[in-house]
Amino acid sequence: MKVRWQKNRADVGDYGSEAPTATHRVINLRTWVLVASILGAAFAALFLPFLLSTYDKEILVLFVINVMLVLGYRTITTMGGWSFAHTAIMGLGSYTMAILTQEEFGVSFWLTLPLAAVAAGIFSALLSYPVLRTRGFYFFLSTFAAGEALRQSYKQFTGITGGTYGISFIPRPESILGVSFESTISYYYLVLIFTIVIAIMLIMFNGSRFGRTITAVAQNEELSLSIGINTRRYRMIAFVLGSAIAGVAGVFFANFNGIINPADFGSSLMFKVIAAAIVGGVRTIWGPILGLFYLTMLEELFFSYADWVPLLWGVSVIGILIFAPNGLESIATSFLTRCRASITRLFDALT
Amino acid sequence: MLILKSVTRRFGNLAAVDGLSFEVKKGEIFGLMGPNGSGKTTAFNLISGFLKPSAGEILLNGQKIGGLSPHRIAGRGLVRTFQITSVYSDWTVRQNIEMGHHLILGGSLSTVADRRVDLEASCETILTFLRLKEYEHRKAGLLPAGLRRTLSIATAMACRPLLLLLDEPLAGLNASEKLAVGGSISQLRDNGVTIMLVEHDVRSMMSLCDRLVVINFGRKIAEGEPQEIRKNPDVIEAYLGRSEGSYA
Repeated sequence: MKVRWQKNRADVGDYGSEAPTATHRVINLRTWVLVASILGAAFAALFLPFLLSTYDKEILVLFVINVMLVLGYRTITTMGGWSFAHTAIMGLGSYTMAILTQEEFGVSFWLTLPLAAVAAGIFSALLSYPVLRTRGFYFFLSTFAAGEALRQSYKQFTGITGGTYGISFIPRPESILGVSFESTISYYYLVLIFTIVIAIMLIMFNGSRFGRTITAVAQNEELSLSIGINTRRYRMIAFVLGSAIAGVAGVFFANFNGIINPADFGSSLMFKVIAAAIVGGVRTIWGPILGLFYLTMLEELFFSYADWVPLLWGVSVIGILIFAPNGLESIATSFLTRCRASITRLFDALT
Repeated sequence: MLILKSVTRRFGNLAAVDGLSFEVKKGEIFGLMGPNGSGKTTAFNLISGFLKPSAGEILLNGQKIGGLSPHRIAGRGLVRTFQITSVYSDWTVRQNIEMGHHLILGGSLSTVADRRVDLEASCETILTFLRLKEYEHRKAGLLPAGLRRTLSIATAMACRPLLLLLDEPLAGLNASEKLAVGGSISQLRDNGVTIMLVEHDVRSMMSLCDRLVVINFGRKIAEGEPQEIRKNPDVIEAYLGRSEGSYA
């Protein structure tokens, strides 16, 4: 980024001998702004919970878990398909953990994390054979059917899943290195670390040859086939990876709540995930996080008028689709670009 | 290099391609010609794997490729372009060409080229070769038609094809664009790529191709060098209808 910046400045041409100093000062300022904002965000993320009430702390933890969920969802959308089975597949992670940590199995929470990811991954890999044959609306509908079938299974296989009552008294994770996760604050740090690690992995994945190829397939499947890309394989990778992340999010979701039932994985949460992706935009991984933040804030601000929240969400989705199809992230990006331009101009004027 | 043995494709009762046989020889520009609806594009889709033949055999360098999926056929060295120009419109020209190197870099079972290729250098070569260098950072979706067409050929070139199939590379271009794209095609052939192209523009086919096959209603009606084809009465009939005398 920095290199391109300097190059552009050089392209603009004729600067006197003082010019490089000015350029450097701008870059220094930019670097400082960047470092300051990252530090600020880290600081806020670290100390925010201490300022919040018990209720708000729980909302914060659920928010971070949902961030993990939408990060997985965004990974699926990079291959061009909008799944409606995401929360049902997340439920697979939840049930895996909830069942295995019950007394008769007694598996450690930490072991159920990878197992949940694998369970969600295997299920979505099998599911991908029928659903990835479809595109667009048909993909949406076929995943909706599959998700609903999966959710019905949670209801019907009473012996394993507890039916409509679900599973309760799910134990918190065992202490690790003397750190207990009974308190909301320690739980917050736990999910925060996992979410950040997943986000970093996804950023690296997106920039990799794999990630770029998946985007290529989403942009133009026919062309991709003709230049030798096994499009089915790359679409499947995106679907399975996103679903496995949903499985991990499901583990934390169930474990934090301590109780799950099939209704948790229904269309209301699914709609929230899709709305976050639309409102925030899916071009970058920041988009859905921004969208989720917006929706969550709306939900909490209108806490006393809970009936109105879905309406407000719906209006937001329609508004974004009309006025900023690439989501809030695109608005934020263009705003930041403009800010940067004015800072540059300011420094040019001063020197 | 490419041999079709009585290849047939039926859609219901209609045989869009009916017992078609021909051979494309190494190093030539081979043209598949025919009036609208004669089955050219169907033949193309059969060869490149986008359709499966109902009967017959397609051989590439002696190996059967009929019925394989498109990406596998591309992996064997047969790469195609599309009639409706197909590029990654959100990406720059350079990014398009980089993605074209998937077969070489992407770790699939490619036999086409050396894996230890220098991506940077390879892109430069292609950009220079097809005179796209000055547009390398332009967004592909915003390029004029002629350049988009050239870019789709450039992306196909990045696959290092043994045989390049071009579906109507000149359709919808203006005279100077036709000249430029046509020039690039001849230049590719001179660099050892075998080319097969489909076109219904008779004049440009005659000047570009070394050898031609003319089809109508899915059947081959003529084969030979441009001069022979020009005089062939069946071809004239297919394109212009019967002369008045023959109704008598």
